[in-house]
Order: sequence, then structure tokens, then C-alpha cells
Amino acid sequence: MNILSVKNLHKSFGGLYAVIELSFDISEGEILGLIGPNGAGKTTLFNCITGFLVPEKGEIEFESEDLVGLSTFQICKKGVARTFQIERPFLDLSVLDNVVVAALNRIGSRKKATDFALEMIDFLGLEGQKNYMASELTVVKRKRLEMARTLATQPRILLLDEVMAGLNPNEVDEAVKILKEIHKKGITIMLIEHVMRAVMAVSDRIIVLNYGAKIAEGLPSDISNNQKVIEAYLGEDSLNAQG
Amino acid sequence: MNRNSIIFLAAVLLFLLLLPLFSSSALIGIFILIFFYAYLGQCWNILSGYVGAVSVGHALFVGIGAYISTKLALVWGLSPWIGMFLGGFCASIIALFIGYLGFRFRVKGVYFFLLTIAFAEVGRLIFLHLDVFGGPVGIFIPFKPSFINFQFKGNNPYYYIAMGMMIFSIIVVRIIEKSNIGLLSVAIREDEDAAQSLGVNSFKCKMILFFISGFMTALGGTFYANYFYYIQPDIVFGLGLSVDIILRPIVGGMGTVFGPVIGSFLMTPLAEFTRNYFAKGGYEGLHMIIYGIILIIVVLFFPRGLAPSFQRMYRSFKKNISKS
Repeated sequence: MNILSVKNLHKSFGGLYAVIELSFDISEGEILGLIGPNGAGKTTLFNCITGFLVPEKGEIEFESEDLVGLSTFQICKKGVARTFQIERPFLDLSVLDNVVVAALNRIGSRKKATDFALEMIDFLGLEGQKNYMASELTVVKRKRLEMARTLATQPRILLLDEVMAGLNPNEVDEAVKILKEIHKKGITIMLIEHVMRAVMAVSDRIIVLNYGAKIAEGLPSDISNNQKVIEAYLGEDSLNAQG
Repeated sequence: MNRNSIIFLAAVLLFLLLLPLFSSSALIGIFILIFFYAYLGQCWNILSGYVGAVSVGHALFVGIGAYISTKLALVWGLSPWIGMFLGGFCASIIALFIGYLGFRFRVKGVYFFLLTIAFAEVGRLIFLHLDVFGGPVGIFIPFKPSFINFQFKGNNPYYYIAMGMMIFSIIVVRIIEKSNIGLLSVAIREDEDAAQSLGVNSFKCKMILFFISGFMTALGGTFYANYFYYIQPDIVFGLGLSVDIILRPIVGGMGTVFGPVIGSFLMTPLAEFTRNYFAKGGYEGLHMIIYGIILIIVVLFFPRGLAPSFQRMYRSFKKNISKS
């Protein structure tokens, strides 16, 4: 069953098309990778789904409900959570409080929300830093915090925007492990990622965007051999050079 | 809160309670102003300190509270003790209206300053031109001392009322800070978009806090009217009062429970002493320069206010002690 389906989505910024006639579905429990060169419209797509931007045309259906026109917090309450490409922790709050804010999304009682937040902090291996101010964390830990927060909102689908950028290979492997565990909890995942090692390892299916349009869709193994994708990333000349 | 700070607060409270027994009326007058500005600063702090929507027009609510309770008392003989809550109610309705305009359309930063200043100025001009409310002459409140009339002989009753209001405001802020809405509003202040993406309804949060802030600020207006016996639009709605309200929490520390109180204990006596001192010497206005210099120093060296800096110093002091 499709948990999220996007139909004919269209978004432009003053005549510049960021997303053009984009349609795709994600079925429940799937991990969908979203790749494409810089400026392909990946983050714009996330912003449209989560209500930061309003698309000019098109539908975004989450569990058969239209998300277009809802505000960001309502979309989160429905079960769509996202991370930001550049982490945005609440710097003046402790790591624990950062996560508690998110846990309050579904849990009314402060004590229960705190317990759940602690669980998420443990899950992401931040228990040693839980009383640190978010401003004291390293970038790697901030990315973890970002994940802990979104998980604490108890989403049905998680939109991850480059959570592995800037990590070293070991850290990428660890992050992949965490993603797989999140997936095991029954959460559908859609991830934007430039780290191919990770995308190829975790995705069930990959969509490639270029200049706002979908240019390819398929299994990871198909995508890496797709002519159009290679063109988009490396330019037309590279194909000629290959002979 | 640990035991030491409870003992310290209890000692300060006891000292303040006993102070009128052995001090001059002039000193008590200064303390009344300290409490009064601490209270107003605290009311402002509820909105601007915690959720980060900085209002530079809070005098609007002081004016509404002062005029409504006073007019009700003069026309219908309604006790200001009741009138103050009606005034508070009107103020909070207006707060909701301004909040709706500001938060619904995501007016932020300097534009929110301007919005709040504009409303305060509109309030000032309306009352300046309404003859029912005395127009530019203002309203003189006839002196009929009794508890019901919120009027007393001597300063001491005002002292205790103002102190009670300040303590009440500290308790309210403390409760808000510890509650879910307090935590969510700090998240909104830090990064509104990120908070929204985690399911925080920032509009609702801000509206609730603006409602409480407007209501409580208006209660301060009633106190003002009945302490000075005279209200006039340029004073109670004026930009000068708005700035006076926000200076103390900024100096003391916005978004902290004791910031506005610390700020008021520092800035209010300074303003009063220097004004009296230089006025006697024929240098009226010099106190504003000194006031300005101190403000610059605080902003330069304690950009987040005194309270957070003290806290940090206290923490590192404790760490050093436990190390040695």
C-alpha cells in the first residue's frame, strides 16, 4: 500500500522551475533514495511535502489525506517528520530537552515524554551527552540529535536530508546501521543523500532528479548503470570520452 | 532549586518584608518602583523573553489597564480591585488581536517591533483625543483612601502590594518555564521552523503567552494609576514607558526567571538616584547619559544579560571548589 504519493507536483521560484511535473509513490516500509546533482530540486521536494513551501500544482497524499495547504506542525502530527540538511538544533536547550520538545508531539505528559526522549537518545548513542547544551555538540553528534528528535515525534515516514554528509566512512557505516534499525521499527524512509556508498546500501529503490524532473527510477543496481544518470552527474562529454 | 538558593531567597524575602519598619518613605518609594518595573519586565518577559517575539509597545497594555480601571472607578464607583481584571481582560483581547496579525502573517524581528509600537501609538492617540477619558489633560484621581479604592495613606501598603505583584509574576514565570509551553516556546525562540517541523504549534504557543502577558501588564497599569493618582496618554501609553519596561529584562537577562528582577534592582535605583542627584545640581538630563553608558557596558560585556552570566560564574566557581 502506498503511504505517500506525489502527483504532478510543480514548484517554481520566480520563473525558475525547481520541481516539474513530479510523480512518485512510496509504499509502506520501503526505503526510497532520492539522488541528483546540486540544485535538482530534492530539498525543494522535501519542503513541499512538509509544508514549508506550497506547490503551485499537484497533490501530495499521505495515507490518502491531502497534505497540500496544511501547516508544517500539522503535517508532523500526521506522521511525516524530516531532518534538515544543515542541522538546526535548539542551541539554548540541553540535548535531552531538544528531544523532549519533539516527544511532546504525541505524548502529553512531560514525564512520559522525557522517558521516551531518553529512549531515543540511547538509541542514537547520545546518552553520554544528554545534559550537554546542544551548542556544545560536534557536527556528527548534531546529526545524531537531529535524527533522535525526528524519531521522537513518532513518525510513520521519515524524510532524511543528507544526514550522512561530512561523515567519515566508519561513521557512514554506523549511520547505515541506524537507518536499518529505524526501518525495522516499521518506519518508512525517504532519504536524500550524496554518499553513494550509503544510498546503494540501504535503498530498496532510487529516484534520480535533474533540473526538477525525474530522469530515472529503479533498483540501485539499475540506477548506477543508467546512461541518463551518468550524463546528469558527469556531463555528456564523459560518455563520449568513455567511447 | 537547591537548598542554598532557597535559603538565600527566603532571607531576601524576609529582609524585604521587614524593610518598611526601619527605612525612610523616600527609600520605600524607590523600592516600590523597583518592584513595579520588575513586575512589568516580568510580564514582558513572558512573551518576549521566552518565545522571542520582542514587543516594544507594552505600554499599550499598561495604558489600557490604567484607563479602564480608573474610568470604571470614577463613573460607577467600581473598585479598582475588580476593574483591574476587566482592564486585564480588555488588554488580553487586544493582545490576541495584535498577536493574530503578527503571528498569523509571520511578522518577525524589527517588523514585530514596529507593529507593537504602532499599536501603542494608536492607543496613545485614541486616548489623547477622547474627551471622555480626559483627552490630553489626562485624569486626576481624587484621593479617597480606603482598601476598596486601592488608595492608601503613606507608601507602605503600596510597597507590599507591589512586592506581592512582583512575587506573583516570578511564580507565574517559573510555572511557565517548567511547563510544556515554556519548553516549546524556548524551542520556537531558538528556531521556529525546526520547532514547527517537530510538531510544535508555534502560533498557539505565542498567542497563549501574549494573552497572559497582556493581561498581567494591564494589572500593572491599575497599580500605576492608583499609586500616582494621575494618568495621561503620553505617559501611560508612551514609547518612553515601553522602553523602560524592556530595559530591565534586557539588562538582567531575557528568558530567565530572575533576569527582570535583577535588572530592575540595578537599573531602577540608578535611574532614580542619578535623576534626583543631577537635578539638584542643575544637570537635568545627565542621568540619561549615565543610564545609556551603563546600558552599553552591559550589552557589550553581558550580551545575554546579567542573570545567565552570574549563573555561569557560579557554576564554574562551584566546579573549581569541588576540584580543589
